[in-house]
Amino acid sequence: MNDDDQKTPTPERASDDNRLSIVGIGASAGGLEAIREMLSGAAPDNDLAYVVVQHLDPNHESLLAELLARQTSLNVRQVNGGETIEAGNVYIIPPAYGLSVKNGVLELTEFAQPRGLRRPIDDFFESLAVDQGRFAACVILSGTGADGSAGLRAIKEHGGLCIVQDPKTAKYDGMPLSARNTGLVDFVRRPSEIVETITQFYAHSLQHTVDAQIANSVSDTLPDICSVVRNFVGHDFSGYKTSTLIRRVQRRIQVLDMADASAYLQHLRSDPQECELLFRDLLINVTRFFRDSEHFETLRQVCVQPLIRDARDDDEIRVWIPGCSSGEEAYSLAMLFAEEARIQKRSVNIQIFATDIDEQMLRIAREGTYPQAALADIPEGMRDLYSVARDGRFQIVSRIRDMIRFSLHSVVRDPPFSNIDLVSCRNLLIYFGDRLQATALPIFHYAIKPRGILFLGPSETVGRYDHVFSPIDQQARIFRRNEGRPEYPVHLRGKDSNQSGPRRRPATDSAPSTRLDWNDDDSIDRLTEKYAPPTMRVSAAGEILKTGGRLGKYFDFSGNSETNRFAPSTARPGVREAVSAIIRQGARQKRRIVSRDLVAQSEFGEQPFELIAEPVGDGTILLIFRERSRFEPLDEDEFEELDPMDGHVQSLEDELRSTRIRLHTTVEELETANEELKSSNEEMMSMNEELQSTNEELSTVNDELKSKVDELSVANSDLSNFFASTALPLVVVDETMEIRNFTDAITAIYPFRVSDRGRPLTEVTSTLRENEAVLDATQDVIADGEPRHLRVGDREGQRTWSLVVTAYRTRDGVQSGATLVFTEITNALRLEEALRHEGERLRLALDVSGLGVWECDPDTKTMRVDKPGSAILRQGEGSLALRRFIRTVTLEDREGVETALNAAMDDGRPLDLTFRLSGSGPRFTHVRLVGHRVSGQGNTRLLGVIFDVTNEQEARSIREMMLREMNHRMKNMFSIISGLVRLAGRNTDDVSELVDNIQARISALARSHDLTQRGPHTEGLPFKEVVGVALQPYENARSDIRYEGPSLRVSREDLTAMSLLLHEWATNAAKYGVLNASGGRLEVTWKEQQNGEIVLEWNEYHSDTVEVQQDGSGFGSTLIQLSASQLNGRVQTEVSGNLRKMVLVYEPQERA
Amino acid sequence: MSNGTVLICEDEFVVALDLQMMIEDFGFDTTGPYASVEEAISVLPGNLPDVAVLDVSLKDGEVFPLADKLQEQGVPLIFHSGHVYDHEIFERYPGAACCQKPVNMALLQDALMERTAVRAAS
Repeated sequence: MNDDDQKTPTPERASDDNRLSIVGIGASAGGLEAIREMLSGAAPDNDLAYVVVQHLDPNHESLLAELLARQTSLNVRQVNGGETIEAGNVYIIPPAYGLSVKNGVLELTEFAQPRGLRRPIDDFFESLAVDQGRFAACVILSGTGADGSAGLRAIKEHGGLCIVQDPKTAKYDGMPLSARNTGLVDFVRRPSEIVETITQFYAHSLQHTVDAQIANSVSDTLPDICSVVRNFVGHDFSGYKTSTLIRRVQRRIQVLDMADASAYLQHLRSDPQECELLFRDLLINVTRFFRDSEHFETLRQVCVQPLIRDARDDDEIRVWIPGCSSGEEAYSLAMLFAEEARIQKRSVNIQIFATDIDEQMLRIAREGTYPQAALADIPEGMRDLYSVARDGRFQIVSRIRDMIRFSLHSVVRDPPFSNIDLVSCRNLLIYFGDRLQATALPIFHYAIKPRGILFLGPSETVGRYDHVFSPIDQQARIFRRNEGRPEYPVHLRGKDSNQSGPRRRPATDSAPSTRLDWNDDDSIDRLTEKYAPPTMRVSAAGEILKTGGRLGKYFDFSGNSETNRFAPSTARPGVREAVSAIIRQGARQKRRIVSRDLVAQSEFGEQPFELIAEPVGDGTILLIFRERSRFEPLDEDEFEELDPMDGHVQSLEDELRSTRIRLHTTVEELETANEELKSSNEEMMSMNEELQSTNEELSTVNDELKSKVDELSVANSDLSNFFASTALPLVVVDETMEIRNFTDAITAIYPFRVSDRGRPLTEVTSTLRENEAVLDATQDVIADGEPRHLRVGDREGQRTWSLVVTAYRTRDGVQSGATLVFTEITNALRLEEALRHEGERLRLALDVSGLGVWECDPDTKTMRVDKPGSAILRQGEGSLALRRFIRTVTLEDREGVETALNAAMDDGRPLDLTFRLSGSGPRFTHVRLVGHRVSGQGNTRLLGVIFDVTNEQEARSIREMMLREMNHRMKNMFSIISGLVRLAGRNTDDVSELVDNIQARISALARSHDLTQRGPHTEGLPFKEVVGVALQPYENARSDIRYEGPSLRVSREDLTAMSLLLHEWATNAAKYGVLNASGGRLEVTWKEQQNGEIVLEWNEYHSDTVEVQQDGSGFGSTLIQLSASQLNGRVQTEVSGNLRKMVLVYEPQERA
Repeated sequence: MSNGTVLICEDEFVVALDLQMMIEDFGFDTTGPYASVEEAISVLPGNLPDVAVLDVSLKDGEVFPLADKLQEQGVPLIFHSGHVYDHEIFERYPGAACCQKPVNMALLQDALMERTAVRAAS
């Protein structure tokens, strides 16, 4: 703005120059962000007011105003209706209402359409355009769909400004793209640049004098501008309404930020692109399907139905739609015809010509694809029949498209179509100036066949052509062409070639002059000039429309051109009265009238004549002057005879005439004023038009926002519930350590009250012993964002918590404070302690018992064994594959182990087996495996203990062996005893002797057997003990007994035989010699000879000479002999004097 | 008239003498008693007995090498043992008899008569 102030001499800005400009902002999904960005830079001190139209959920309270107010210095408020828009304010649309503006006052509107079809942005923009004209600006921001695209058309049409968010910066680019694709957008900007652009644009407007200056310069250069456009684009806009043209050119100048129109003209000449842009701007108009649907319904009844009904089979119904723009109207009509034909079950050939001068629009029209939102305009019954959905848009079905031929054609420049049944030209004429309108209507008259129909826009009229187009329905602007012969619009001939250079301004063109130009064929001209009676065609008011033949005798055309226009004024005396009368009568009666015996008086003479008035069909009257006799020249005298009465009449008539002329001028002026009023009314109406073209599309998209808010509300309530109900003590502090939030459960640690929110955590007392550490950790987390873990307890040492301090981050990841979460672990710690004790005890038990613990997982086929277990298995600690475990078992035991494991796994049979570990040593390690199936937490496994039973196993086998040996010996002993008994029985009949002997022998055997129990006897028994045992029964005898010898041993195998032999010798000695009461001496010696034989000597020294005696009892000596042979030895007995000597020589042997 | 010759193997001299006298009382001729396997085997050629009464465990080991030889020659066997169970013997020497120590006279006599009778009949 400063720049502008310097460029132009600063005009004093009076208070009424501060014209408020209203910026309408349309946004939908993703709009909030864009609006914030856009408005955050807006200053409250320029003359801009903002109205935000956002798609809002009607059932949901809007937070938009609240959210925006934080972001901008402007005053933000939600509209309640009735606010006068003032600068520096932002007005927000309330939910469930539309918004419109009237005389700068906001009004709430009810939605007519159902949700999903509403287009509040279009609605508002259109009302804004109408109300504020070029002081309306529209901004279209992020959103899906196409709402706003129709509205911006209206803004543009009324000279307003249109800005669209750069689709690349939009979260949802549907609305911006759709708006941009209209080709009507002035600026595409990032949100942050939008306000600046608007400010710059209105810098001109806000200074009234500059504004007026530009307007003036535009109106001066308009012909040149039109000519440049005509040269470049080939279309002449000079006939268009000047006010519209000036407004639109002025807009371009403002958009380009230029000083005046001459600069713009310069730019226009140098830049063909600008020509194109201006052309497009000039052509802005609003169209939609079935626009003014009630009028279409009327058209259907009065035109379409009869046309279809009355059409013969080979007839073609021809329809022409000039100015079809993007084709909606053409398709509407085509659908109307197709639908009617369908209802009447007729197959009629319908040809629709749709023309426009804008090739770009025609392209859109031919494609026949429109935004989904436009579908709402098509009556429900026709939607499915005549449209197909395509990528979020819809296309008109080809059957309808084939009915229409789109072509580039100018109504006023190109030859018209002919023999047309219906011309629909809606909202085109309102852009035309009077002259162009007057050109277009005859063309329509020519094109439409007699009794054909003309269908105009609601604010258009047939104007002065009401004599050829009679209204059928005035409301709907449906007219019927009269029966008159079509007249080819002559001006079309060669017009292009004639026209060069700047044209006159249309305002100076007067309509009647066009009529005087009407010409007929040359020969007819000649005929009427030369041979026909003089004729004159006049209107009912007496206005001369056309003349033929020599009328000089009847009329005087010498006056000024203004009075020459009316027949009575120019008629000569004698003619005037008749002409006036006959015109009045003819207009009334519409019949041929003759006035006879008239005399026309001129300066030169008199001419008798008859005057015939012939009413022509279009309301005009043809006057025919038929001469009744020769012309009689006047004598000189006649001048003198002039009746003074004549002079009086003459002066009266002159006076009357001048009065009439003044009246006429006044009427004309009134008519002009009326025309102007009408045209401004038309303009108003056309502005109103755009109000109707609404777009309802995007409110569905808004559901996204709504659902987000819903989610947020739910999440918020979840959160507050969580805070209220959780048993988890939690505090949130902000970056200055002030308490932001906490859960109720925190009171066990910090005695917070609700009022403590906002107090620094450092000031609050706590039950924690480590309060300082907690505060320090929190500080650290706030500083670096790294989480901290602490274990804290209360001062009594009763409770313990695990504290996690984490950084608190806002949604955009900015760190702003910390969260302290306490988890009570008192019980967990106690449990842990108890568990550890239990574990230690168990471990100790296992260690002492040497038990290993194993666990088998059938799924992974692994066996986990603890340390002692691994030692037993001689495997590494940890888990080993089941296969490998099986291999530690000896080959023979493997199958059994596997079977038992499987059985335990499958059937849950308890496991208890003993097996040997594989290995080569003579000693196998025996292992016992005990366990059972444990189920839990989805998996089943085997759990048990393993221990080494090698020692037990060996002890058992030794015991068994010993038992077997004992049994054997017992049996042997019994055999011997039984043998002894039987043998003894054979040798004596004396029972008591038998018993004594056997008893003595068994005792001897038993004593010697005792010896074997006294100690380790692997090497045999000492000789001395064996002999001593044999002599034991005689130790109390008085006899002298000695037994001496080297420490030789008697083997276990030899013991029985040796004992028996010694027993027999001792028995004999007791019976017969030294061991009885007779006295004597016994010496027993033993020695080992060099050849390994042992020699045992038994010397009995008797007190008397020994008598040679027989060998006592026979059995005794048998036993001695048998024992000796058992010992593998021999016995000799020598007797000399009182010595009785017995010698045993034997070979000691070990059992093989 | 002798009922036949009985080979006796027994290393315990008292038992051997008892057996010998008992068997002679039954009306058999005896050969032995032998205390070792080696000794008994050495006398076999040319002196094949009609039946043999064998202690399992002898001085120089178990009697089975001798028993095998005797079985080959078709000599019926009667085992006189303190520590060998019947079924082990029956498995190895089908048709053999077992007389547990200490010997039961009647059982031994029956076994001997039975063995020699079978032998005479065949």
